[in-house]
Amino acid sequence: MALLHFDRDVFRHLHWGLLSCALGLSLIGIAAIASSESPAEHHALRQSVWVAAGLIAFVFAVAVDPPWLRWLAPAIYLLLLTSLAGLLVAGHSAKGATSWYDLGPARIQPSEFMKIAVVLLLANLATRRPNAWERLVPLLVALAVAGLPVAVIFLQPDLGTAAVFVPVVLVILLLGGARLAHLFALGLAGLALLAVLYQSLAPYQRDRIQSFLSPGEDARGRDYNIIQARISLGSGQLWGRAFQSDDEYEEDPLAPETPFSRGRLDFLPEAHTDFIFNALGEQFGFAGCAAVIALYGVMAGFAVVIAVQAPTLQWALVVAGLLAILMTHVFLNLGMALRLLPVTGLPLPFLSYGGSAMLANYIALGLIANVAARRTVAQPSRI
Amino acid sequence: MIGLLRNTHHRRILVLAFAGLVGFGLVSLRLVHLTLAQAARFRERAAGQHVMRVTLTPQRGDIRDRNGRALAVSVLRETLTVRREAIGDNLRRRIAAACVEIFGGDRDRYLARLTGRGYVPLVRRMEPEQADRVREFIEGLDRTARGLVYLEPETKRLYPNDTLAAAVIGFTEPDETGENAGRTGIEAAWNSHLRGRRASDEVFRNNAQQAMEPVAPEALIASAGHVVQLTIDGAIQSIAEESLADMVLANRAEWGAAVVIDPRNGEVLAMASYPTHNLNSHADYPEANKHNYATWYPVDPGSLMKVFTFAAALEEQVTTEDEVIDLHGGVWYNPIHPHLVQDDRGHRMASADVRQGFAVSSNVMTVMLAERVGAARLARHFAAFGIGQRTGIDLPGERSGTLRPGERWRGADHSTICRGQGVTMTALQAAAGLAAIANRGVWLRPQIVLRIEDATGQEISFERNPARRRVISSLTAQRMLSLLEEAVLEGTGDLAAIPGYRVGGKTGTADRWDEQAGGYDGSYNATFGGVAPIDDPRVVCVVMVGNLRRGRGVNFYGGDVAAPVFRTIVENSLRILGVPPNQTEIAQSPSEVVISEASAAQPAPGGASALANLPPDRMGPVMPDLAGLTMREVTSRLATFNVSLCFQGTGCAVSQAPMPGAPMQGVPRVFVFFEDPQAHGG
Repeated sequence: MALLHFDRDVFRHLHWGLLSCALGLSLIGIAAIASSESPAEHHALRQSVWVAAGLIAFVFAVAVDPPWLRWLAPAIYLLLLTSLAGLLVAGHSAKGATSWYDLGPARIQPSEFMKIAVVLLLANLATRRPNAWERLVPLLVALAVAGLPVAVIFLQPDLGTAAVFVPVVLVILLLGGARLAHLFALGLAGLALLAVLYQSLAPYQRDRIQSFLSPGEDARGRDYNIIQARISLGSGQLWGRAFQSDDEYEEDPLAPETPFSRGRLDFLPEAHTDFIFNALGEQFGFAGCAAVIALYGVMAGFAVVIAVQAPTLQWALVVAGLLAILMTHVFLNLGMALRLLPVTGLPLPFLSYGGSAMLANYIALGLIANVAARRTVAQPSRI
Repeated sequence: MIGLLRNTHHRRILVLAFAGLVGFGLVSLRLVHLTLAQAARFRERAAGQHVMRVTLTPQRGDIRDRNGRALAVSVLRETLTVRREAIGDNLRRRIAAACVEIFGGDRDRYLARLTGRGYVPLVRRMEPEQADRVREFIEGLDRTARGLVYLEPETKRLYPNDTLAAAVIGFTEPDETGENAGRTGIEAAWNSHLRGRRASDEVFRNNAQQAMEPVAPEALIASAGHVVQLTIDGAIQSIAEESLADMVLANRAEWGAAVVIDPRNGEVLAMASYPTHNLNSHADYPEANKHNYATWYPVDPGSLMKVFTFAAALEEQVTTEDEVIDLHGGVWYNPIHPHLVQDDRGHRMASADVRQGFAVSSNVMTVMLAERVGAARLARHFAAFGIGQRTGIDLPGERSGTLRPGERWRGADHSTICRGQGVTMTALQAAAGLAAIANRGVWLRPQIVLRIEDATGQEISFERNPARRRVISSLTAQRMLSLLEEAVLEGTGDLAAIPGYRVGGKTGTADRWDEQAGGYDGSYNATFGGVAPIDDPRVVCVVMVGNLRRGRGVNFYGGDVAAPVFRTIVENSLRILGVPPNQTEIAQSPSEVVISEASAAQPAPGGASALANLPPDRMGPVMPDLAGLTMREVTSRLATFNVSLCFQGTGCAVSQAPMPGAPMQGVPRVFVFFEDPQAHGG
């Protein structure tokens, strides 16, 4: 059995809906980046290249033969864990975190792929024997498997990425059969750990949390990014400025309005990455934002159906875990963009500029589609 | 397999899916709240953030001459500005070191200026090459420092012609806001027009307070200063300055002034002042060089005053040109207001008609006519000609001179003011008074500004401040012009004659009154004022050369010092203005060159009379030049003529009557005046 299985059936039964959602989001992301960057920047162009690379990765992920993946999961996990540990020695620093390997034209962020590896490995562990996680020891082993990379990422320190693991692991544990009592006890222990960890946070990380808890105190300093991001989002109104005609422009009672986007004017920080939803809001208004949320919703709906219809518990857990990764990013990022949650600096899947995340997202989507295709191939008549 | 989920974990899936739904719901609600419900508020805040008000550095308006030639222009330069409180010691030292390297100077002075709070313009209006080096330095700084040290545009005033019309144009200095403000001359008087407005414009900006678009051209135009076009003609001005400076230097005088006015409208065509200064480096010159001597320095006009006295006498009809008046041999004791009045030793006559008396500048006749008019009326006439009051020209620093009202004239005043001692006027006042005669008796306020336009060339109306008043009747004015012409043709103003043009003018030589010492200090002011052409006056010119001291090779008579300057200025002015020469006049004066040479060779006052214009073959024996001879030598030289000799004074002959070259036929008596070469007297 080959590692890659480019079966015509598999691709004939490709889940086009899932792929369409991802492509739609990617295109909206490129448009949002293009409309808010200055002519000197080429983020939109580079993002297009990453989307193309993501599609290739998607095809490979769909073609992977599932049994192979079961074997490969521990190896991938160990490889990524080694590379994460290596970052502490030879990584590239940006924005206070050492999360990247600098490979010349691109920078690779192993933690993006580690999330997928953890999901795959946990799904393996959960199905080594039936009801494995009803006992505490295997559950703690699973927690250790997930906790090791989280600890390394926390040391980088990349608080946001480390935080993503928590709901993902929780979803897999819940669906993998862990007892609620165990989870509750572990949750309490986790909270205690959190309290200790808060003390060890770097000042800028504490600032982010402080900024969320007590807004409006320091408009030019700590809160500046959040306030500016919200103004950008709100200023788009229903249709956004990108669709505003010249006549409307003239009649706008709030003129003078600028012909430049707030991202280009440097008012909206990180317009192409963390705050891309706000750039989208300014350029395409409520309509653009609602479309993005709807696409995520539809994508999640497809994935839930795929998970429920998965041929085995392992693949159900893989789909659920990968979906959890995507949705955790979506909710943490939107929560930040809409000022519901503190600033975590997480990218919005398929939209934010970033190569590693784009590749990882398309690989995750490909694996979900992989499961969907086999389900369809194995059971042509849907349940 | 599905069953596993369905049974045991069904609820958990539902819970998770529900949690996801709740998440989507929350996010959607929040989205509606922010982008729809509160949109207007955010949009307003966004709009407010995107614009900034750019205060425009107003471009100071140009000053031009009447032909559009630039006299003062503004160019954009850059100023190095530093926000002091935000720079650290290290950066402060680096800036100071860079300034020393680029601009030179003392490092400690830069450091001192860099200490303190607020913004400081460290080096203002540097040259473009220096600005490039500063820019290089700033780019080498790190990002935060770059926001604290920057170049700002500022305008710098340039005067393309350096000294030309310097006293009229004036110069600027930065005021407390750093803006160029006029300090002297037109720059000061018309500052509000030239300055421009501190306009501002809203432009889109980025978060770093950088403008994202250029300022609207309309705003730039609105802020730019107006262009002030002067009545000055650059070419005439240039000639006036050169010939005046030459004469001042040649005679070691202290100052000089020349004014050229178009009598038809009062427009000042030239206003020269010496000593002068280079406007581009005005700080290097002493204060004395910055005065406009044509408006700032009133002096005793000397005999030039007789123009106004005679005009008053003719206007009051106390005499006519042809009345022959007994001059008592040129020495007359004024019985009405006791004072001894003497004519210049070269012009003492038993009697003469008014025409002749004016031509030879008879003091006796002037005082006699003044007494006929009476002090009160005379002073009123003088005042009407603008004497004793500022002309009101649109230039700063004009002085009025002094003219006491007739009721307050005491003793000698009655015999001196009428001939220009004890009354003071500026060259401009004298020119305006003469211009009234040339303008058929109507006095016009001299104008210096011809036109004001905005940056687009649109004419701007401004308060012209005109004033006109009839001073004498048109007929009196005509009669005075003919008297003036005769003074040039046959009297003391012969050096002012211009071939081909009918020129009228009057010399003046005054003892200089030293205000500080309260007496005459033995130096002289030489003046000449005149009109050309007589039949249709286009140019009135007054030349004053001041503080001439008697000495070897130095002339001090108005006819010798000021008249040649007048002649050069007026001759060139008429050519520049395109006034055609009178052909018949040229034909009538074929021996002009001879006369000029002859009179130039003689230091004697007066000079050749018009009688010398007779063709040489018709001349009989002529009067020899007696200058420098002793009494004994004069006696032997004149022994062949059957004349009686009248000697006055001792020493060497300094003047004589008749003049050298005059025919001796029928001359009964020759007057010779001697002076001791060592003696110092008036």
